[in-house]
Amino acid sequence: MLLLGIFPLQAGEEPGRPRLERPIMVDSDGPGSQLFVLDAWGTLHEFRVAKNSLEEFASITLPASLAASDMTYLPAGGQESVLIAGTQMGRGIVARYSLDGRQLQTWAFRNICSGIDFGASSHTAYVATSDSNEIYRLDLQGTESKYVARIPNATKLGPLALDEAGRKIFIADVAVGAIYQYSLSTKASRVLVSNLSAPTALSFYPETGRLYIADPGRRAIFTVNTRSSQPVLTEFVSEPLKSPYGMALLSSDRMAVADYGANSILVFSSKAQLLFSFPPKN
Amino acid sequence: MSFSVRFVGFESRADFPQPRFVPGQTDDGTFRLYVDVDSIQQVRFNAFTFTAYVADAKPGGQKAAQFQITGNPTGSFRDAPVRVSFHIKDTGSSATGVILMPVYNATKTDLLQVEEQKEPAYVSISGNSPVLLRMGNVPDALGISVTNLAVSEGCPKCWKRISSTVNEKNPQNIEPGSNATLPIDLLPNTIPALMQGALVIKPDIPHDTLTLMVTYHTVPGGADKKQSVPLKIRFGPGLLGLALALCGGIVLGLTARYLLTGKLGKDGEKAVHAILSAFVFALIAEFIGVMMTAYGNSKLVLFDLDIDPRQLFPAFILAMLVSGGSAVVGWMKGMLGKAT
Repeated sequence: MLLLGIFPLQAGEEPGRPRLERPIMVDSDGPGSQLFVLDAWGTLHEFRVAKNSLEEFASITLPASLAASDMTYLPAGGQESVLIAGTQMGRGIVARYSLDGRQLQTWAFRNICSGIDFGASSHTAYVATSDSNEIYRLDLQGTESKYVARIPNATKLGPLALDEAGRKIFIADVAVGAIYQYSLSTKASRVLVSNLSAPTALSFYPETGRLYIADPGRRAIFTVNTRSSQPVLTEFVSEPLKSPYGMALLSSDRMAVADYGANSILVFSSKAQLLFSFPPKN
Repeated sequence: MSFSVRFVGFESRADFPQPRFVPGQTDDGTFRLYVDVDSIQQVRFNAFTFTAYVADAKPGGQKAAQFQITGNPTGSFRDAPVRVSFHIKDTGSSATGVILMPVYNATKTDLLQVEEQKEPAYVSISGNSPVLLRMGNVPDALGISVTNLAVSEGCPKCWKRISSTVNEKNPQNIEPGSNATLPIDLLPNTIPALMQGALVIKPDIPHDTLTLMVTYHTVPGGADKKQSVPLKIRFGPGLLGLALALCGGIVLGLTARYLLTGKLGKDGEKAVHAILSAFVFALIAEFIGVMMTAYGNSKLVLFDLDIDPRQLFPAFILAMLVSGGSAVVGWMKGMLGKAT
């Protein structure tokens, strides 16, 4: 069936003005020149990152049965794609989609997949599950996944970020507002920081060793220096965020934040200054 | 359902007006707990957060402790107001209480109750047709606010415009245990709609099925949800089209009768009387057919075909047979008999 935009425009809305509705997660390609934004209705918007704007060049619709929890960009085998972790028919799933919407691979899980990240150097992807609080490593060549660890005392694991050089995985506990650090070398985990409300997205910046945390409960993006012996949670940006659901690092030390409440993508400088947004402000 | 609590700090605050603040009190009457419903926020991973305040129940207190609370549902249940027990620990004392507050679960979808359509909605091709979509909300749930309606059509060329007054600025609210009607204004594209319905004469077969995507959320603070509702449509020609079809059928029926019998009426009947009779009886037959099929459980069957007299072609045939009388009916039966 053909979908037509046939309803009258709402007051204040301009014809032809780009729109974005309920962005929930975001990731960029390695250099940060492309941005991928998934909205609450399962549409993946693909943007080109310009100096002062985002230009949407494509969009694909994911199957309605797939409830996405987290996603990561994956260039593999000469094919750009995104890995999406979530649930389908009540079971955990990781699905790989090409940027033109073709499903390339799937990995099945017994538990709900809640977080995923990919390391370009090691060419590995890790998945967190929210109901069993476990971490798995994906076999990107096949359809298998390998158990890595279980985070003891965790309540509900959410997003995950990978520090390839430090061989660490950072995982948020959405229920208790804490970030765990799991060492792939020592196979030990510890609480990195706590006192968050509902951390729903993590981004690790390898150059500085900083972990960025989106917390819509506290309506802010926080950061922590993971190389510090006593890591402290500091606020990176809060104004004008309403519900920062997701974020991704872009080229030139910029950060894109998916603001669910504002129906926008906001791009900030490394000094937390708002540079521009999508849809653009008048 | 579990909650995690984060202490934010003390705030100089003594006034907690309703309905923004939902109050609860400890059983011993020492403390009051206030949930700020304006602060309720749905987050990813099926969780929600809100701000709550604990204040001294005695009047005159100017300070309240502010907490940020994250709710984590388990299992599957509707967004609903439920009684939640809470504990407040102070230096050397502990008190419990119960508060009636909303809780949410993103995994439960399709909160709207939509009546199944027994028969397609009739839409005239000659102008705007309002269609009312009836939706309900179960008792003991949270209210529902419908904020948007989007449509996809099976036959996009059949429609000029489909609109609804419901939007974020003008939402349609459905209270718990009640129903509401969502008005939809339909304007078909005359010729394509007519062609779409021309050969589908059985009254229970839709000419087009609209898929309405209803966006709504529970009130207060629920997450946006979308629910797909099919709306079956039958196009009708409108009064003018029906009148033209009737006139055409009468003229053809009288002409056929004249060709078959050499006269317009019975033996000795004047032509004017025969023509007027044909008009009157065709009109009566059409009127009765429309009333019976539209408002009753009856069917109009012609030559073993269950037809809808509100459509152009059936109205034309009906008028032709009535005005043509037994001569035309007999001739047609003979033709059909030979054909089979």
